[in-house]
Amino acid sequence: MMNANDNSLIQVHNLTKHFHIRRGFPKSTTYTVKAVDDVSFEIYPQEAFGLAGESGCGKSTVGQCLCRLIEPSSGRIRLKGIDILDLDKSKLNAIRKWMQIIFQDPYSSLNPRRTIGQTLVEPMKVHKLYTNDQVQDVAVDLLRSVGLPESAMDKYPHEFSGGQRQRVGIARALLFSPELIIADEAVSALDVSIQMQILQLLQELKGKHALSYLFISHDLAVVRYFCQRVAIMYLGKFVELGSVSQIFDAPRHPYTVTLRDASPIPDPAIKQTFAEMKGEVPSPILPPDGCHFHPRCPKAKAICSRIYPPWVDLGEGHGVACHLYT
Amino acid sequence: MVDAMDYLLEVKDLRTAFKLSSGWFPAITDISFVLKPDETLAFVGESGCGKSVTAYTLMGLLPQHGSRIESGSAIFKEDDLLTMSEEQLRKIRGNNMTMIFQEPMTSLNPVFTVGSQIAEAAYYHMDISKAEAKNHALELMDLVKIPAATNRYDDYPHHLSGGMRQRIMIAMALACEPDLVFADEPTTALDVTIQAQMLYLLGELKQKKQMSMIFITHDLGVVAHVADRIAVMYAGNIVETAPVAELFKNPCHPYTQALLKSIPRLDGKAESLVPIKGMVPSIDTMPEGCRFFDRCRNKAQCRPDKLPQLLPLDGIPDHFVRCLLVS
Repeated sequence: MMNANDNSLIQVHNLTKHFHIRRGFPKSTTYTVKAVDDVSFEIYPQEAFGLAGESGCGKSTVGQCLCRLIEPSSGRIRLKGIDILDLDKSKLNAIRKWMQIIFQDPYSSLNPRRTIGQTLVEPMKVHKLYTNDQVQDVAVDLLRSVGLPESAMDKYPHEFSGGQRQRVGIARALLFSPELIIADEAVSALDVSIQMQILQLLQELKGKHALSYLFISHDLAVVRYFCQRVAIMYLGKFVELGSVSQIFDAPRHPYTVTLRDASPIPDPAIKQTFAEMKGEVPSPILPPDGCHFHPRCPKAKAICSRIYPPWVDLGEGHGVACHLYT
Repeated sequence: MVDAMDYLLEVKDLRTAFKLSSGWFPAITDISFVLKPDETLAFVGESGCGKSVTAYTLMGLLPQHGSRIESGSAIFKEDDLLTMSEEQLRKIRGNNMTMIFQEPMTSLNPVFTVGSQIAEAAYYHMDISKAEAKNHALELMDLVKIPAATNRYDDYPHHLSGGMRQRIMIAMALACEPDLVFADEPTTALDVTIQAQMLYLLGELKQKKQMSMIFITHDLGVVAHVADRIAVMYAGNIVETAPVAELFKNPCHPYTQALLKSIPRLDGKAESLVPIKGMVPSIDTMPEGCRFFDRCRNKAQCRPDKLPQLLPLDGIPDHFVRCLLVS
């Protein structure tokens, strides 16, 4: 599929996650939902890699598989040369320091009964990274680096606004100087003026701490702004992968084109017709045969309904899964 | 000034307050605007700026306790919505004036079929028989492009996808051929391809049905394509209002300017983005003067104690700005 490069920070090979769900009453049937199906990519040091798609396409599942919050069904994930799916729990805990996650809703991901100080200090004690005298200072420094005052240490999550809570979430992710941050819709719940503050903070931290990001978002404009490369997902599969300018200026997959043209550009001078798009995302329980996108695809051919298209390398890191290019 | 009869809705000096533990605080103040027939006016602003409160006040949907309208008038056609009795309002609401809500799952009744919910509005307001109301509902379902409407009529809301439910909401809102539709973030909960379908549908319906719309959203991308005129709200005030092309080309209020400079664009233009520093003041700590003062990049030349008025811009028709530094 994609060749694994040695200088990459993390390599993901054929990652697959199937969920089994039971439906029906009184006689139930077990269905397999292929939430993530044979996905491969790599992220390089100091790169922001975007993962975009509509709800239910599996982008968050990829993120959670990467740090084994969800156990993948199959595939390989190599972080700095170590195969993390082979690790037992204690070794995994050691490696998780390198990889941290920022969640969409900072309110539900912070413990409401703990002060920010307690939230930040506890993991440091668990991992015994600093002496007990140091932890307070480290936490205060971290809060400052995300633009929060020292007084935030003694406050509870409800005392902060959404943007400030997301800053706390970022500070927590930075505790162990990770190399990879998985940002799962990290700015989606924020107002536009705050969203840009947080994006620029993430950008600044990326330079300062030599971070890489897996940036999961449904907002293509934000992905374009923040990321260098991006993969577009549809029903558990990558349909296209490339640099942001390849994907958004010269998209090749009809789904990428659809997605791009459906995103409203804040400029009335650009006439967007929102040309009528067929249908809706099918249920991931029973995805269409062949290419999952073919029932909605304006360019579908006969073969599309029978065989899932192979991955086609278009050169310069641009790849697409579509029969138009085979 | 144009004759008042040219307007479908004329709102003056609207002020709605909410009760907090420490007293009554206005959520919106000094809201004045006009809406012409067939016009789409979009209220844009961030959460808590009062855009939904404005719509709820005009629809008479504020909670009975803990809220009050402190001043203002809202002349819809010839009557004042704010002084009307509940009975009069009920005749207008759902008939001449309807609303599309953000989350169709919570605004549709889960124990009635979607078809019957559309028919109900028509039956009560249009003086037709139940059978006629059903036919009318089926026509509306066709109009909003629900495939195989006759089969869907007896479905319950949970049978339908988010996009289909939103189409039902739109069909309900259009049931009685309203003059004015409030659309409160009607596409926010939807995926981008479904949002595009809705924007297409709303544009088409507006042409067919000749109605005015008040469109509430936080998404400047969406307003650029649905609105004729935009009112930008900040902390309970309208800070700038102008026709859509004019507002994007010539934003005059520092908040509008900053907002337009802080959103990334998919076509890759305007890459030097600048975030707006600081936060919106909360409802109980509103400054006395300009509410944007603390975050304004021009604050060195301005004064914090003076409250700016929403005034017309010299030489440009229909463009109003609330800023002491803009004349």
